[in-house]
Amino acid sequence: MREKLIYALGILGTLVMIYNLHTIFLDLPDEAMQGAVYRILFIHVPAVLNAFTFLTVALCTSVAFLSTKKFIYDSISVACIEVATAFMLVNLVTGSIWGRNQWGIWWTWDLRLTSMLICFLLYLGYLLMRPAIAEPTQRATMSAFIGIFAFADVPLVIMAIRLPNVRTQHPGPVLETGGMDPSFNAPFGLGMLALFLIGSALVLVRLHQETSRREIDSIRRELHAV
Amino acid sequence: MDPTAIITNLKFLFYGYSAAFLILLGFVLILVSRGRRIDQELKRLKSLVEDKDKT
Repeated sequence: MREKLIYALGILGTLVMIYNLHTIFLDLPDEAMQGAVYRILFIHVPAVLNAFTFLTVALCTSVAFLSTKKFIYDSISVACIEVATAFMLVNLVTGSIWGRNQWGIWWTWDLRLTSMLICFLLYLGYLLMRPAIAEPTQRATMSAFIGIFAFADVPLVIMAIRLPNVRTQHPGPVLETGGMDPSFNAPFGLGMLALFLIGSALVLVRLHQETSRREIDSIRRELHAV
Repeated sequence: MDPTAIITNLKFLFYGYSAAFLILLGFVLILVSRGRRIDQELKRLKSLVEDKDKT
């Protein structure tokens, strides 16, 4: 059942992605100021919005672990954070490539970009810290605290281009202000859906691995006890 | 837009999507190889437990 669900989500996500790429590259016209390169938007923004969705789930499950001490919540947290970190890397790299073309620079230390990089590094730190703690309860508790602490950066990333008196190189918000051409809405939504489906499949794969790893830990303890 | 700018834009568009898909593919490959390792270890430990139970 679980494997079927993973395959279904993965295949559906890939099909939506292929259909969407066809629309993005062959149906949409070039943007007047940027030319063809604006199409990076259709992977750059969905990647970060999906990353934040998975990070929000990880925040909830981290809080749930601390209050219930059930390991399933810790497994969901790590699965979501690992997929979200990969999506954040996609966001940072595609943004940098777009910036090199449009601004003439790969990187600038403005609030939006820097807060996003810090967010990525915080969650990368979470993933690197986990193998360093051998005791499962201690590892899960520490991870939950770091997961909650790291999430504090997410609202900052979102607010970075909306705060008054903040000068930023990053373009302003276009989704809620209606600054995006209506013909971009469908490919943008499908890009979101495709990455969400693929991301969910990857979270399920990672969740299964974490469950197997716990089983390995318990068998090892059992063998040592004998 | 002049032809050189159009070609540069297309080049960067290609770089952007290539990088995105390479990162995702790399992540999937890491997951698959880690999954294989975990499954092998689980199988090995289970057979070890079975052997101990027999003896």
